[in-house]
Amino acid sequence: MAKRLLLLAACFLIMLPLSGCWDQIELEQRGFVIGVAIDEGKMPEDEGKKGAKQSFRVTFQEVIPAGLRQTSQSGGSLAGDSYFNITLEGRTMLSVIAKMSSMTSRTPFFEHLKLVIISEKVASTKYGFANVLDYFLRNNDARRSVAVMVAKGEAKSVLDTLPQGEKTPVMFVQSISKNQDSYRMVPETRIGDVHEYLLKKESFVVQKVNTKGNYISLIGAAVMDGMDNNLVGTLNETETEGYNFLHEGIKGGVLEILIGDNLVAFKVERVDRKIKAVTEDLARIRFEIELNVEGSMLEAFERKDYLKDATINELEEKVTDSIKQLVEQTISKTQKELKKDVLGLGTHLKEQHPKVWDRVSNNWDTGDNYFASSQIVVTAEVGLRRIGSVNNTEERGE
Amino acid sequence: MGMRSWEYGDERIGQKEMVLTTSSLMIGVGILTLPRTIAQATNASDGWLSILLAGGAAIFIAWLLARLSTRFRNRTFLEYTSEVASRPVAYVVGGLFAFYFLIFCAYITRSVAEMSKQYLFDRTPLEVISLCFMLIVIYAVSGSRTGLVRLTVLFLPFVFITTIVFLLLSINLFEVDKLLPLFHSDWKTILEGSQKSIFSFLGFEALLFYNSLSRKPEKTPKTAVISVLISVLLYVMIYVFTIAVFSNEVTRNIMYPTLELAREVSVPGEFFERLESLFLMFWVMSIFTTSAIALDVSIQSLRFFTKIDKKKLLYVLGPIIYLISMSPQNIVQLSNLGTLISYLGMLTAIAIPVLLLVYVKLREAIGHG
Repeated sequence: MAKRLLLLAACFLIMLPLSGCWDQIELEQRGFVIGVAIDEGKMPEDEGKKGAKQSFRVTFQEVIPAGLRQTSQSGGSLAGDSYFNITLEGRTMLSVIAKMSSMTSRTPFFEHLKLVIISEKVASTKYGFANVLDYFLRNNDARRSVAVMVAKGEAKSVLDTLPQGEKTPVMFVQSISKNQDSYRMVPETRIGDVHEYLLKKESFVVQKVNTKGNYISLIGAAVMDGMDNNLVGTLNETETEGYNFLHEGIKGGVLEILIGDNLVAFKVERVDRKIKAVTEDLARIRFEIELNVEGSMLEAFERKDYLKDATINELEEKVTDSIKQLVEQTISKTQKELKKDVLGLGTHLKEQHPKVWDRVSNNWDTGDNYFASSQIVVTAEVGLRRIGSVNNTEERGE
Repeated sequence: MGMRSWEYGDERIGQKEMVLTTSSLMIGVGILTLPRTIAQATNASDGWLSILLAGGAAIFIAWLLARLSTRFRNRTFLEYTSEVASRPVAYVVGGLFAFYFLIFCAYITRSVAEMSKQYLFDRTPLEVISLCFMLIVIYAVSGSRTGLVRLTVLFLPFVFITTIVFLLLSINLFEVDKLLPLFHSDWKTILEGSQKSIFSFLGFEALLFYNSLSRKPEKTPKTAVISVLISVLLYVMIYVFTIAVFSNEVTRNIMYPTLELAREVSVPGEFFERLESLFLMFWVMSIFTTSAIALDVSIQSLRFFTKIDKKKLLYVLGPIIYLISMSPQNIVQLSNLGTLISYLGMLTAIAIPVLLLVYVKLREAIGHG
């Protein structure tokens, strides 16, 4: 009998820890942060701590799960119902998040973080870019696939725009950034890739986001210095296009060329890049970049018989010229003006010519800048594969 | 009333069980951090050479150990030692093994708790996580030894399958360019890398303690080679994937590259998120068998000294393991403990058995001469 009682007591005792799950947070109590925008703060300099010069104004976008679930049946939910923004100031991300927990009803939770937007100003400060990303890399809630962008002007304004066709501004920006066709922006920048560039001390480009009133565009790219980890310049529309040809960028793009007096639009479908480096003379390393471009003609204002070899050849030649022109612009910008190797040529040396790289790596795009003094020659091989479903749309009379 | 326990028909194990038990003691917490330590020592992807080199050495030593163990003829390792090399020697060896596997078990308990705290239980106190883990390990060890072996046979294939599935799922992030340049590290750094990977291979000495259960002890040398080979292949695969996904520079900065690799995996459609919890679950199972086998070996060594009942010994050892596992104050001290164990492991798992084998051989040679 005594043994049975003991067993019964043990059973009850075992039930005690059941209620003691430390990590239990109900789903309703979690605040899902999906986007973070980081601007420069205006906190006065901390006298006590010497390093604490910078402060940040951080905007979080949290989703309201109930707002997301609403379907169009209930009269269509307003975009404002599915998210809210909250802006706070602090010197470190963690302190800002701690402040935030005391101001919102839900515990901030970064598992579903999709996007980190950093203002140009913060990104331009020395090491500022790496500093603000440290928390998101170190914290193991957020994934390494979080997208990173640099905002022209205020980062917060991106999170304040009205999303079109999506529930929240973050989802809106993110779905733009994933568009495969847009050749005027660089491919999505993952925080994991940024981490890699920062550790390799390699210069790189980040997606740039611009706001104009309620409109958002991701045209252009921000160029980051690999040594000081700060923003050193931007690529404009055409330079970005050239960058996409040179680097394994977005596949696809449109080139407008003149045939006769009229425009013809060539759609790029595939770009293969081959690099050869001639490294006899370190002061003048020669890179031969061979681009193999394939695509089709999808719009033509010039009436011509496009089923003729000669016409196709003429088109291909024109496209080749136009690619060369584009690429030259990008090269002159990155090599002569910014003097930062975002084209991955240093990486090519490192992977294919490690012995050469060992000698130049410390002065690649800083100091002696072997990159700036190198010679980059681009050749393009264009293949026009298709002309669409019709030969001509009208018969033009002379 | 008393606890009724299951009795197996025979307390013997076959070659398959031996292979899995030995691999299981090797595959534990080591590989979770191994890519980082090797990447720190070597250039680009050259670390796989280090793993191969250390693995080759481990295979050779395991084979030597297995050769030694074929001589036991159903005696335990320590009984055999005392017969060939006198009882005092056996006492010293037994004491060393008991101590080594005890702190080995403590180290693993702490490591798995640290890892779980970082990835799974944010707020649960570390002390509680380790305690829970240890209680289960003790429960597993208190039963039949063949039962433990059979549990390993049940668990380990799942660990292999999940690891391979996760590696395959990460193939869209695999960039061959990141593996380049090949063979750019000099031999010194490769050797340094192998030295660091030795700890992840320690564990093959389990052969010495499980061979007495084997149905066909004469086949153990082959078994030894296969079981080390399994872990060599697994480690090389994981290493190459982490480098190709993260690059060398990133790998050396990630605390648990193997787990982070699992976190990178996403199935298209975003329907299944947090797949890494699945990976962690199976990996914790693997670590569980590792520490259970380690504790079992420690108990076996102690039983050579005293005929005290196994369960009573566990009552004494449990708190000791727990205290040792709680003694490192931070992640750096924990890794120092790991280094200490790896040196101790080289002494107990490699030096002692090899010396014993040499001694036996010499004596035979003299005896014949």
